Amino acid sequence: MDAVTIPCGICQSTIAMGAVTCPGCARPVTDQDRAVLRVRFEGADWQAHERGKQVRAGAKWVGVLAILFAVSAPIMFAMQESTTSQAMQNLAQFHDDQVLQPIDGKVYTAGELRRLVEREPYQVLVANGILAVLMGVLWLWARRAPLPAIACALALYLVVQVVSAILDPSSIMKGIVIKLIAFSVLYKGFTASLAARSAMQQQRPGV
Amino acid sequence: MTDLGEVRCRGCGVRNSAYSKECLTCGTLLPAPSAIAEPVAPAAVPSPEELHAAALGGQRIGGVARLFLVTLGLVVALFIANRCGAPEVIAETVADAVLALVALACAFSARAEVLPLLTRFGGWRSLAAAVAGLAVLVVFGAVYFPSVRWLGMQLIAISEPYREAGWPLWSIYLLNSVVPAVFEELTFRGYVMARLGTLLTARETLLVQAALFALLHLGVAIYPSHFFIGLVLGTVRQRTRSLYPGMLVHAGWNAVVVWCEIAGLGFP
Repeated sequence: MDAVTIPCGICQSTIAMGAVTCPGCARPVTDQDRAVLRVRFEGADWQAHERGKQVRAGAKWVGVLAILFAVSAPIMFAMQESTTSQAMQNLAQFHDDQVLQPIDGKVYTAGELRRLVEREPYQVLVANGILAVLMGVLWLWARRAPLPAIACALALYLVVQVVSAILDPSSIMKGIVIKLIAFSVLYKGFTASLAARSAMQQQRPGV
Repeated sequence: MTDLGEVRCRGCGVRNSAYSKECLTCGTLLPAPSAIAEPVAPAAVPSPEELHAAALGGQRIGGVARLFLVTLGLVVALFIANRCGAPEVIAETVADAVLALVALACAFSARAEVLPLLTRFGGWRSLAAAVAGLAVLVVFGAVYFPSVRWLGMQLIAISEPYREAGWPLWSIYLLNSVVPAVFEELTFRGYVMARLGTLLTARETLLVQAALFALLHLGVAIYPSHFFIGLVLGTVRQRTRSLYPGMLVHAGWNAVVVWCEIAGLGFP
């Protein structure tokens, strides 16, 4: 396949797709240069144009997931708070050093369990906050390098869903439609960006 | 770009003059005219060699994806076994053995890339890199883990099941410090970095392997810390072009964690 190139605005050398610096004057290739190269490449090849659309959809969904995690953090905190207050009412009848029935094979005193239960809403808040920040960072990265960013986002989302399912099997069906759409778009974005990266490597001189 | 003097809008797909600043249909900003003054390269049918190279790149990344899914499956099986009441230490040791076999299989399948990393140590420079890496991790851990505890997150003590089962001290250090260091380095800094390096840039490879390393430790509170640990170990591997300094850093870090747990210290 013939290389898609642009002339350097400074030295007029030819900058090929995938280059990091200009081969003539060594200036870094800018985001605008990359955008022009991508538009040219996609404009000259229908398959590349379709791949580009899927990659952009995948990147957009990484941002959507960041917003969803950010929004769900305070909601889940509030829900967990109400569960915690109920549990604390039940635990009120026990003294701090009273030993309770084993939970998942572990024996706790009432005081230990009270401290654990009190922590839970904050754990949920911090966990969702961390996930929102991570997805946000990946969304920003996806604008520059879609393949690694979407791959990481897909892996992160998969792990989060698997861990949630293990900890609480009833969570599998919660928001199942959103989950399926997210997986589908992220997977398509990943495969499209993989194909785009392979095609870009073919465009690179000497590869 | 579809023709000389025309540019396709990324927003709506409509062709515009290359000299328009924005799309006349949807208003999306178009690329600057100076950068698109050259004629478009026509689309050509890729050669069989090009198709083969593209397929090879996909296969190599596919290997990393399969490794990720297998490891995730194993960790899930370990979780389920623990929930079903299987003895924790036995289940952990079996899972470690299976992961070690997976690591060896991965290293064998990428032997052309992994063997050079195992046949050199790099001398004093590598040793200095290992010491510096371990120092960075200890300083980072001293700040990160107390902060996470302060935020209310619970951290798991890796040596606790072994101590509760009464295993000897040497076996606790061996199974929690040396074994993970050797096989995780072989897998992530050996196989994964070698495979990702065929399609990604060096910086992307470093970031992705660190992300996968963090994710497979399955704990939201430790994603940022293990991502950082993965970055440090990946940097040591890239700088020294050997797996041994990374193994030293990894084993040293795990040994510090186990020692603190046994001594009853709050760090990490």
